[in-house]
Amino acid sequence: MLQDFSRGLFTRNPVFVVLIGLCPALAVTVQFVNAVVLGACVTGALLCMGLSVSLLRNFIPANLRIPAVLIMLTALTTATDQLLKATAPVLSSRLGIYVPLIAVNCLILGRAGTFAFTHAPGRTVADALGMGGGFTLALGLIAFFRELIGSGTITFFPASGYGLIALPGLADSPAAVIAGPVGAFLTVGLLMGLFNVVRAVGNRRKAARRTSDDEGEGKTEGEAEGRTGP
Amino acid sequence: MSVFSIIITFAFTGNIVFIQCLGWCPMLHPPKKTGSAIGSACAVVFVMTCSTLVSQVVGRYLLVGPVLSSFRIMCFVLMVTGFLFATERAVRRFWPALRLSLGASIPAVSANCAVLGTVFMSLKNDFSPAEGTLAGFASGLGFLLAVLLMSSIRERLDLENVPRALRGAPIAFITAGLISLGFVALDVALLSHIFG
Repeated sequence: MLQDFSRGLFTRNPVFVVLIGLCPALAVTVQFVNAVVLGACVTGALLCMGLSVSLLRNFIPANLRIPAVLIMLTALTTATDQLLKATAPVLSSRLGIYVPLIAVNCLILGRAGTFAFTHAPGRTVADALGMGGGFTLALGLIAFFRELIGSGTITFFPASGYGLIALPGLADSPAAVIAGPVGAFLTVGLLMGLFNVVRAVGNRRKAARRTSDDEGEGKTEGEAEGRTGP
Repeated sequence: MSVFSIIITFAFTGNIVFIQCLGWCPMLHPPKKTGSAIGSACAVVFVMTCSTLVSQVVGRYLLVGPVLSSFRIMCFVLMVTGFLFATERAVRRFWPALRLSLGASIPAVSANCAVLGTVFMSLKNDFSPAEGTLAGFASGLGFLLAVLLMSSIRERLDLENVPRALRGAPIAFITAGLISLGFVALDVALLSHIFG
């Protein structure tokens, strides 16, 4: 069960390794807060979907799996959309069409369609938390570099004035192209390459405490690579 | 908006793949042959045009008001998935040589987010149903262009000596970033020329 959880965080990270759920990872990572909020929405949807599909898995006939999953997920997405509109209208308008698009998120459809249909609720919840956590971590990492280089700030809260860290040198003359789609593709590509390097080194070493060490190394390397890349 | 500016906006300056970053599942494993790339992208163009037409009518005249509009997401997702499934079946039945290679991993669902993104985006603007359908068609043309670019570049990249860590998806994204740079540049130059 612990393995179900930890698998999604690193070795089977949905964005960097399995390559699913990439569209939101590219599109909403302009600001750190956007990425984390969308990650939280997706994690919540994964959890609800995993739990309900896993509980209902003996009652849904095999040929009705896709329609059943789609209908449940669209209902859940509508609820998420309305909740976000009511509680955080600024964020909701900034995330735009990517909140309704949770309804066709490959990650949720994939996990609900395969893992949840074959496993008990406990393991499914662990898997959903791990996958959602890995997704949120990946989005946060991408958004961190993109916002840092693209606008020279790190935004933690949507409200202006609070929770906004502006870096003195970068905020005056940021590389604005990184905040656009160009930066999204380049950052994701370079981070993915870096992730491959880290994984290869980790596999070679096979030390027990490889994860924490390499992530620390990875961040500084990624920054350097991200800066020289464009 | 004029017909010309809708086409330019949805096919180039707001390209669904390179600017809106949608529809990446089929882009990462593009069809190898140019013929099958065009064929499967044409199927997506068809689905995009049909589903924007239906969603413009349904979204503007049927699902209005505070209660009914909350059914939009559900209706559109089911409609788009239905269209994609039906198109895939039809292609398999009538042109067995052209397999819809866009949806190798999860059949039909993989182009879903591009089509659905187009539907939501064309509804956000103040379009008449005809203009909205045109926007869907133009967005499909943008998708066709993207599939062609990515599949032909990938074909050449397979022959190059790419560093091991960047093989596969990472180099595809870096390629896409450079293409997208061209699309971003097109935005400023072209729009200022037309409207300025």
